[in-house]
Amino acid sequence: MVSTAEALNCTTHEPLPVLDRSGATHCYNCIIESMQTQAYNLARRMLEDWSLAEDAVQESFVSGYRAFHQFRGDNLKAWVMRIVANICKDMLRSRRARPTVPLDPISSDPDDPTAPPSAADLPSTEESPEAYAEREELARTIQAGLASLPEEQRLAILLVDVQGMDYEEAAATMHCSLGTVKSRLSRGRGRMKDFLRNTGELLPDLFRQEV
Amino acid sequence: MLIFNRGHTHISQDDLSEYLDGRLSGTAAARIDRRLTECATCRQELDALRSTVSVLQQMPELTLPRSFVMPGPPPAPVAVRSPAPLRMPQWVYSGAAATAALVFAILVSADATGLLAPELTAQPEVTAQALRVAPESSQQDDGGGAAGAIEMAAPQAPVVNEAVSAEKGLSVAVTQETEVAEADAVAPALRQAAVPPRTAPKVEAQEDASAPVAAMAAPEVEKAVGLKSAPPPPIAALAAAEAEKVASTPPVPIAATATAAVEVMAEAAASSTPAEAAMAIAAVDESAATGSTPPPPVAALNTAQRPPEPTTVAQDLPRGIPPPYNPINTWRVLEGLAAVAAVGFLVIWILRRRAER
Repeated sequence: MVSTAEALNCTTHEPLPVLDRSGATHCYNCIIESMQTQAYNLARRMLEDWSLAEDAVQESFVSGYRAFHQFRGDNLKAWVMRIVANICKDMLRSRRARPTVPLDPISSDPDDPTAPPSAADLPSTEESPEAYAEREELARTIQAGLASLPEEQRLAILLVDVQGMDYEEAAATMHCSLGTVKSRLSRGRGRMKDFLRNTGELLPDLFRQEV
Repeated sequence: MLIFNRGHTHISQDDLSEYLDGRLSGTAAARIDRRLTECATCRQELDALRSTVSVLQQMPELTLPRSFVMPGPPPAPVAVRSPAPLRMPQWVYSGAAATAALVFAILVSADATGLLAPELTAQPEVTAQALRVAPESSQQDDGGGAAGAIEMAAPQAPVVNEAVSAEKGLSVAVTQETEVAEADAVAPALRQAAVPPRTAPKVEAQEDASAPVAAMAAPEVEKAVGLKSAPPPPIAALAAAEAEKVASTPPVPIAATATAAVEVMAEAAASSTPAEAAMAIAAVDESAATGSTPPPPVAALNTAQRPPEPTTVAQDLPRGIPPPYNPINTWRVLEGLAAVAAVGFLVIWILRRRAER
């Protein structure tokens, strides 16, 4: 195959050529590199479990590789995120069926050496301890609020508000209509708003003023 | 979500959400703008929503625990292939289950309306004819070596059927005239005769030691069947209850009245050829049993000693009375198969659906 590292402009990894539906060649590792952070964030926010999220992303990329010939070449992000979302939903379903798997909170004990990286672990250079604590607390609250949402509403918020997708992209990812995206998003936002209101004292001043 | 407040309709949450994202058209957005200037509550809602969205947008991005870049193509999926028949698409199983269920339903309804066994509703004359046919078919079943005469005593109505079969056991005697030499060899083969009772148990043979006669009775419960074989040697009299036999013989009539029994015996005696059997019928009611003394060549008459209850056999059943329940015949076997197939396919289908999740 002609697809060498040069042909695919791969410099940081082994080229992994794949053909999409139209026969165009892509480097799958390039796709992974460009999508993995978003995929991991989505999985982590959906599943609230870092090791499950890792598995989900790994599984998503493997099944994406195997199914890449179905990719039409139009919206790569929606295509990849859709696989991730579906696998997350499957995992949530099987976790509901076997609830013995312990949940791993997203912000774990900092003293625990086996703790996974979390939002709190991000380097915070020019930040006072107070601001750091507040930010971590906020992240915790938001995650708890997201966890309280129905699966589809949570996904809509994660895709549109957190990942920054537009409605059309979110509709393609969730495989639903624009109207469905709108209603899921608006209902999810409403519930998040109520949730954050009820935990108002944890929120930054910006929000607290309006409560 | 509409909130009503003193005649003022607040902006719906959907509209606010879309407005926030700038997705409303010019006129719709202008309308929202106007209402926002009028209503402080709506403004507050919008601000709260905006803050919520902004908080969500500012969620820190989580760092990757590792890179998911692949060192090479992932291995092909482990082929967990089930045996060939189980690899068919799901609709095959659901369709097969539905078809089998449909067949079952048709058979059962046809059976319930008596369509499948019209002869069962026939009158005694028909019964007699059917009885005449019986020996021939049993001959075929036995390999043709023996001439069999099946004497069948069967209850006429379901109630009688129940009573007779459950408590007394029917005596079905087959008297057979055959060569002495053959008698012993044939007897075992003939040790099956049809007895209608639903609860018919396995029958143990009781051999009458006094003659080369294989006499089998169906000793049901405490009431043993009185077997009396006063025949010349080459006679095999057997009374048996063997469900399979019923299935293999043509749907055997149940209504054997005294008159019919006598008719049959007369016929049999008259037309008996060396290879053929003479029939002796121990009819259900005592009158038939006592009144039918077989002609000389017909050797044995086995009468079932029965208590008075079953004597209620109707001699003149009105047409259309449903036949007594005959537990096993070809149609019912098919019904059973259809039911089993329906359930089986359904189970496979469910298992497949689970496996594919």
